[in-house]
Amino acid sequence: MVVLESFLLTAILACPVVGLVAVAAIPASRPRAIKIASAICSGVALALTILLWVRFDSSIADLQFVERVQWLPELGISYVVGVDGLSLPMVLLTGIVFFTGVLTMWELENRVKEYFAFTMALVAGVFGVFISQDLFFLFLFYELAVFPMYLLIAIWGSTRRLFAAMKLTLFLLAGSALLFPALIGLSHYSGLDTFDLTVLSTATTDWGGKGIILFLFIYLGFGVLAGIFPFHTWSPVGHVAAPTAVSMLHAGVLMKLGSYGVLRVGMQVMPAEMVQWAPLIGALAVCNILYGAFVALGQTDLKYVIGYSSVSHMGIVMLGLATMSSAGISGAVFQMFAHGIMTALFFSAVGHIYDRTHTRDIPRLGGLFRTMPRASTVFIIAGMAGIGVPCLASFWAEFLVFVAAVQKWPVAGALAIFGLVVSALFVLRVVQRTFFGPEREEWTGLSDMTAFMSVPRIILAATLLLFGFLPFLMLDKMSASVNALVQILEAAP
Amino acid sequence: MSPNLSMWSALVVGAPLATFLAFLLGMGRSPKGTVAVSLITASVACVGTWVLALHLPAEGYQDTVIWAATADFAIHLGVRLDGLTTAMGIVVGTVHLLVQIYSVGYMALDPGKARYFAFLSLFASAMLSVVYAADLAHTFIAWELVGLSSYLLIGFWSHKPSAAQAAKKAFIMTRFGDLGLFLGLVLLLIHLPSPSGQPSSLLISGILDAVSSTNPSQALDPLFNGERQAFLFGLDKTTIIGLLLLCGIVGKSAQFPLHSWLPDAMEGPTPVSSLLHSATMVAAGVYLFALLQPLFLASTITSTTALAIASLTAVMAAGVAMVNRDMKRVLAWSSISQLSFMLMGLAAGSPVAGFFHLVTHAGFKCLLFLTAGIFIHMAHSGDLLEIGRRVGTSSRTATLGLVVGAASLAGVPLLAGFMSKEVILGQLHHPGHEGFYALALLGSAMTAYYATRMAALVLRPGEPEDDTDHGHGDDQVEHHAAGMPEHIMGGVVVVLALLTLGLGWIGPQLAQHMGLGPELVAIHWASTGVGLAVGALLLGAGVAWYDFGRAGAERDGFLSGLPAIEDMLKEGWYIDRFWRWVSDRIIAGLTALALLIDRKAIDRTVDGIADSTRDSSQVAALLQTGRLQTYLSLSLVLLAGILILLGWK
Repeated sequence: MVVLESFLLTAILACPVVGLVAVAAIPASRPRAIKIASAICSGVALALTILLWVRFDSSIADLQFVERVQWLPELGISYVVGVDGLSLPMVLLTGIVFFTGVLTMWELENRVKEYFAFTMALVAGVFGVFISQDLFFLFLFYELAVFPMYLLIAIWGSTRRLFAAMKLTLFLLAGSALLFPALIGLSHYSGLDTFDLTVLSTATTDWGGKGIILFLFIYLGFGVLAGIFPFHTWSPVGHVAAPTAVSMLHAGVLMKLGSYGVLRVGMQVMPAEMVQWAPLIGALAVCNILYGAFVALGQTDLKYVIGYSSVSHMGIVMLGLATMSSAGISGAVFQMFAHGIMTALFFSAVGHIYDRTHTRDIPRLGGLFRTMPRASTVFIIAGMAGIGVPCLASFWAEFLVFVAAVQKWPVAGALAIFGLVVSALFVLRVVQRTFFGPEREEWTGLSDMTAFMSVPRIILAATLLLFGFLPFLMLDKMSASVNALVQILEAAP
Repeated sequence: MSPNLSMWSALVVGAPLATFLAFLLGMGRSPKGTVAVSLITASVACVGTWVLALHLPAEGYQDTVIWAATADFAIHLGVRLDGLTTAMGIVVGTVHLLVQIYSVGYMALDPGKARYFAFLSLFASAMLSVVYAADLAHTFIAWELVGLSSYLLIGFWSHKPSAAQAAKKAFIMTRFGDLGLFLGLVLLLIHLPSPSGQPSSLLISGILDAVSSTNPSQALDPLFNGERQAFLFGLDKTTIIGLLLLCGIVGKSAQFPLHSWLPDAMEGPTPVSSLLHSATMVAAGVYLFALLQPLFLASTITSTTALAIASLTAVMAAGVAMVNRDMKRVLAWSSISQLSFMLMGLAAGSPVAGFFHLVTHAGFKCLLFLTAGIFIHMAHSGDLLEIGRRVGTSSRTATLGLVVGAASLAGVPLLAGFMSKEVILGQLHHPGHEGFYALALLGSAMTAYYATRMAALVLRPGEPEDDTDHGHGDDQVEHHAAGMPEHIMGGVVVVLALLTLGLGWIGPQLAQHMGLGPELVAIHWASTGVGLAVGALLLGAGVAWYDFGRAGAERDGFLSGLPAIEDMLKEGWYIDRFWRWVSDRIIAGLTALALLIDRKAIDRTVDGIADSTRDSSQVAALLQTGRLQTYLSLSLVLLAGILILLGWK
């Protein structure tokens, strides 16, 4: 056990890589073996992330489980991994969504081998970003996560899949185009010539005038992925086109890479610049919340509704970060986690409905509660989490962010809270039109989720309930790191 | 040996919750098992509420643990017991148990009864949590869960479009009020002074201490031990926070202008209407007011606003109840009006009057609803005239329930409704409150009118008419096959009727339990106040009897002579139309605007950039002709250009 713990993070990262190799080695004619191999790898990854969670010492603010290997010393690049209270929830989130995502795609029949191979590559990238403490590797993994999305959507997608895949890729590459020079700039202008995040963030560099631009590049570069207004339109289109588990990974985990990047690279390395840009970030976040909710209200495609609700909910994350207080940042990280689980649950429910009815058009659906009580319950639970019903994890996240927001900017905070009423409107409207009402003839006899296919949904819903009833489990883990970050921000000139 | 109060309160809240969680985990496959477990946990909770009340230490009791904390804030999970909370606990626990027993009969033939009992248990757990919570944030959480269970139960027959619509409406309208409540709580959390070095929290005890530690007469801002400083719109913090909290109360207790969800909520099963939408859940708003009464009274503006809203709503809602023909809706409008009376008593400053009325109302209104359930079941219609024609006095239990309930509601002296309402009227009968007192008397007369009308229409149906026009396809009807175990329902009605007869006399015990003197609930029989109240009763009941009850009455109501007013009342003062306008114009307009921006402005720009990139690449591709002549001539032109530029330098 002790040996395992000394390279636990690399072991977690290795799971999808081993999965990739295994899937590549199994002939395409044996799809069941491929699925089983994927499930085993993702299951082991989930088990290891839970082990990481349990063994994580919440009293330490600094990185834990650090591994450091020199790689290119001339360029100041090394393989450094480690987690603190800010990345730990993200690693757990990825583990959960990875495993449940694999199970959700159990019924896939088209090009099974390629599908699971790309999923493995994507997840390897995501794990890599969350554990890397070296900017170079962080960027490398980031690109690794983004790239398979194009293929996953273009090959297995639905509605306008080529257009959506292209749009998504171009948007994210545009973000990378801002990020790459910014990351090199960070290394260069710090005068330290290193990509090591710990070194960069402990050295109190005075970035001078360049800092303003560098921070803006980082904020926009990562922010595109987080769906900040007005750079969000790729995201709902991508959700709609993507197959179920890709939507789960996309909204559940991939969008978090963006907000995590802002937090890890932007706020931690450049606190003074963060303080300067915070009002803009906060204002755009409030736009996200309200605007996303209103656009969601006007949608008639189930997946578009959820896609825009993600835009709205990611606004809550960014608003929390912008407040720079301990309640706000805790809330933001909590929201990243809760939203990831919640939206994965959403998409997994919609995936089942679409599989059976072959439509996502809300006016055509209706009365599904009678036909598919399980799928409907899953959707309703996710919906309730989406509108901040207590005893589901997202309630606490939103509560903390709103307290922090009202404290810092009362009017903006009040507006953001109003967004919750609009969220309630669109979620309940969808629930009413899709699941309630008299049963429709065309949908009678469609099969509900099987017990096996309910497993991933139960895991996700149980996670929401667990952290909804016991929020301190999450808050305790992150409090030391959050408080350390708040001190850095408060000390910033 | 005194019982462990923390353990008992955890049991009271946890037992019904366990039923719900067990249902989620698959217990619903056995409906009978679910019903049995649900009844057991409801009994445990009910016993627990009595234990907590009977063993309440004189100084109160509080026990909390940290639930969620950051560096600056702490939210506690815990219990706070005093006279008010334990008394309210008994009301909720007892009514809940009675309604569950009644439901065994009422829902016996419903295929979804496991789900029904699970939702009912979730409600009980959340509501008891509202009652006992020690931290306002905890109260808020439970408050929202109460709203959720209300949504689930109103929409229980979700295949009925009207039920699904009503459920959504109830959730959104109360949510709208909760927006204010939430904002008020956040402001309170941020601004409430906390002991140095400790994170701030919303412990109710801390808030009440802060309010009582300063003397309100000193014109200080009592919550923020400083001067009354303008905080927003020239109002001080205590006032702003009080008004915001009041929004939540207005939403939950269905007061003007957020009241119109409650009549629609009658789409739910009748026992749900009885438990949630008259006896307990809607009373949560009034209860919160009672809990934080010193905070509201610390600002004259807040308390006067509450009085104004309540007295206005009391009269408005009673007016609608006077003309409505649907039995459950009459009762719903009546609940709105009665909740206003409770709020008036509290806002006028009496520590017990409004709450006493809450207790008696819980008894007699629950009785009326459960009786209505029997009537509607027998008549297959909710229409008062239909019920009168088809059922009339044929059921002795139902007749008993209706007579006792309606007489109590109307305010017949010595019955429960009279005793508690009289205390409220006495509190209002003071200089400075003349206007509100007059409205309350008017409201009492109107209450007597609609209560008498309802009883007369049902029990004195007049000449039987031809029944053929009225089919059984009325969509208001809750369809049930024959074979429902009616004796269970009847038994509960009898128990409640007896309770209602006695409830009026518990005033002194209630006051004593809350640590107050019995003189606060004493009624001065020889005073003008009692004379006026009885006068209002006689006037209202008399007119109603003349209109509907006496032999040969036209059964039309005097308001039919005033069509403009009657139409307005039938439309519920047009408030619903206003909200529909908000929804159809304002919200839909903003949605359309957001969609327009998204598609026309943002996406067009983005896609435009992509398109222009593609187009420019096509222009560039024109150069790649593959013909040497083109390349050669192009090179020559470029060379010439470079030479010219160099020569220029």
